[in-house]
Amino acid sequence: MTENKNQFFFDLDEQAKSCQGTLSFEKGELIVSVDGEETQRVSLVEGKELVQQTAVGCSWLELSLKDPADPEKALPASENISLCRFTMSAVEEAAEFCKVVNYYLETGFVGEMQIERVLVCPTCGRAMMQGIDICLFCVDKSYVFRRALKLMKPFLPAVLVSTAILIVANLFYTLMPVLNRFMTDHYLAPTADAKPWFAPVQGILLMSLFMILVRAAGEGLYIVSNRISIRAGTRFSDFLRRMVYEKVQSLSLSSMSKKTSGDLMKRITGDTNHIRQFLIDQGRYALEMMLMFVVILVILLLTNWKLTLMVFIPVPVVLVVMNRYWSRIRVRYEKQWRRESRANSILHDIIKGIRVVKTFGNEEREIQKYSKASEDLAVVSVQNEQFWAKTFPVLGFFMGIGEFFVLIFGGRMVITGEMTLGELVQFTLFLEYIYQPLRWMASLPRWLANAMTSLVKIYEVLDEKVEIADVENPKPLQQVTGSIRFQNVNFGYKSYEPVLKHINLDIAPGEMVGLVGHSGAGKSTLINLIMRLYDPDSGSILIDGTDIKEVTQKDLHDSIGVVFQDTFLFAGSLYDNIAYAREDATRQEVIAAAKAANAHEFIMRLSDGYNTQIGENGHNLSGGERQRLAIARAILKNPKILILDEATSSLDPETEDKIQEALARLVKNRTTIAIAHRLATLRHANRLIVLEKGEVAETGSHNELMEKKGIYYRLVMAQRQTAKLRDEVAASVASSK
Amino acid sequence: MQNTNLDIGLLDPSVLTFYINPRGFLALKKGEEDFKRVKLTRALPLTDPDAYIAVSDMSGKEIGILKSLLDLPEEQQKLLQNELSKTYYCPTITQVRSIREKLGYFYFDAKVDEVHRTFAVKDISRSIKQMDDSTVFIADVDGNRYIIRDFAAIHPASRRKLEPYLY
Repeated sequence: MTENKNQFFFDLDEQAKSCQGTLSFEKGELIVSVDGEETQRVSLVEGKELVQQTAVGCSWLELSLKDPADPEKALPASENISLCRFTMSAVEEAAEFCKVVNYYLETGFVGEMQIERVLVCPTCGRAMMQGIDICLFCVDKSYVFRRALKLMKPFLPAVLVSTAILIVANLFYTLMPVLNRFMTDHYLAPTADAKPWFAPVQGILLMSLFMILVRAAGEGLYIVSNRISIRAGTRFSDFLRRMVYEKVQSLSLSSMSKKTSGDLMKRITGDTNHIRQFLIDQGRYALEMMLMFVVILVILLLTNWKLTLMVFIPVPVVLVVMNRYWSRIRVRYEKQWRRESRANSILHDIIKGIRVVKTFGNEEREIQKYSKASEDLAVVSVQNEQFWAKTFPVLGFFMGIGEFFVLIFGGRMVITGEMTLGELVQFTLFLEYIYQPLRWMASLPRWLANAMTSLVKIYEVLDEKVEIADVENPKPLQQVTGSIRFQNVNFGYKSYEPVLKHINLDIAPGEMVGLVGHSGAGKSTLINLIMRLYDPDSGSILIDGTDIKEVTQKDLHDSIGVVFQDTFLFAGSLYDNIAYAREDATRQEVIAAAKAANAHEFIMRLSDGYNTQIGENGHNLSGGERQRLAIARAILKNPKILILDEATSSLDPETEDKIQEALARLVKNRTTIAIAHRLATLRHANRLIVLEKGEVAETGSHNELMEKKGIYYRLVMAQRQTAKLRDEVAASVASSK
Repeated sequence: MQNTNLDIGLLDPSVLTFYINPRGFLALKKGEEDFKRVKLTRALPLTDPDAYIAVSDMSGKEIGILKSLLDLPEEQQKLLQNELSKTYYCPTITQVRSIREKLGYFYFDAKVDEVHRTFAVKDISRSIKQMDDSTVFIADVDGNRYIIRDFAAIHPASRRKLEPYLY
């Protein structure tokens, strides 16, 4: 028997209790089975559409039925047939199942579900995460650091050279205990078989001089090593920052909106820095410490193996304790990371929305909100620091307890003549050198925890699937004439919640089209699709006959200009903000654009003219002025396709006139798509498209649509009524004065 | 200054009769009017799930708001509670066996409605919310929601495992 590919597995029964069920589509019927038993069989002959309803934490499918009086229409939703319920884990598959059934209902053809079944990890059996091709649970623990090493590959030679120099510097330092021993045994407390080369005073002086030279050489090499590592470290962190930033820029709007700006900023700046510190600074020390550890261990064993073993008695205990605390330490640092990110996000929000905060007089509330977040962070930081302050000395103490054994037993050996005083001095001095790597190892979990947390955060960004990517061999999009075609476009921000349905549109080059409809009808979504901020779920959008998925986003965005309702201005001068549209614009072009946008006049009134600096969001400019700068940007860009998204809303009539005048110049010879709530502002449009619940409900000129007396007519009438009421209120206020 | 205009379209419970229509959907008789299918939406699903429940028709037009479920007869309350439990699906976590982190994803091994289940949570600062001292909401990567109604009452071992992720 062949497997039915058009089968959907659901996991809740009608009472929203867990179950194992299947909904199959075969031979024009839908068959529901729960826990292996068929419970329902529905013929699709009377079916109109398979609808996915989504609630909170669950979803369900129901079949709407054809109205016998008019098969083009569906019976009311109260007549729908409920089929099955499921948790959110199954919504994507349900949406795909609906597509297949609805295609059958529309065309009579049977398709096949295209969704990839959730992949299961062969090692642990857990479902794999979407968009990630490794099982995060089974991945090798060292993967995080191996991958980090790959990242720092270009900087590895510099790090290795710096480490090699550091090791040589350390070898110079290790000469010191040997020289000390020589001085003690030959000049300070000469042993019986000592053969001094010089007289004692002369010898001490020469030995001291030699020790100074050795020390100075060590310090000199240390400085050279540091300089190399700092340079490599800075370049590495710059490389990491840019890589993460580039990745963030390539993410789609939907991916970006899942993270707060504070979170992203912390990843780009803070985490990359932590990683640099660990990989470059600590990594270098790690190599140095390990090598020194081996060298000194050999020297100690050769000097006195019994004493050496005493030094290492407590080490295994300390290592076991460290391992035990490892997971706890990780969680502590994760918590600190999140609190820091939260405090940053709050701060960023408050500063960005400072105008709103001040106008509502909520400064005190915001201060408290940030203070609370900051205090929460401080509490965790203090706890973590205290944890270390308590743990580190204890670990260090146990680690160093062997030193006391050395003093006790070593002293005895000197007295009994088994060891010379110089050998004991050398031994104890070397102990300091061997404790250094050991103590460093005690603090390693802390560095490791910090770096691990940061690396994971960076990988999260780097591994995020780029939803909107350019094709491998893009088609050129040059000298665009500006024709736009929507071919049966369907789209939803979530695939199971369609926002646009069956959109078919043809917009001719140079045509001005007004998009009209209630809030949430899908107007902004439609222009988001033209700009390819999102890709349609099905269907295609063509510009000059080329699918926009087949051209590069750069080419596409170069041919589209947008004027939004809220104009974002960057910190910088007015000139820079206009020239943002085109890097290579000449001064004359920038001024000409400002003139055409009616912005020149107000700019010239400012004492610094085009050099006037504006803060983030251009706080010192009015809404109308910001809008005119946006129009100037669009004029300067000189695109063939222009999108005006509520470009003239919330402006006073005088300013609006100026902007309308500027817009009239702007739209000339360009394909323009304009969204406006105030329908009067669309009076110049060649054609109006009325969207209703994601579908094109009406198209035509203003007059045609008014005659039709449909949705557009009702919208116009409602607005006229509101305007009339407003005028009456204004008149009565004026007369009462 | 407090606003005195507080007309939010509250429904008079005495004229409401909710019933299940022949197709199994919730319907409402409001005085003489018969709404053949209605849907319920909680205004405060996290903080006050049984109060301020909007009743609307299938086109989304609000018929009115029920101030409190308790204003209805017991049998009607049960009917609405049952409907709400189907549209706000949020099973209860009774035990957290382990939380293990892998590259930013947190794998929960938990007892959910007494059934052993594993799920993954990403971006825990947004996905785990403690509403007050007692209630904790968790949302997994698929959009499923889970609730711990009384955080203080779950086993101390479970509490210790989840505590670091709450703030």
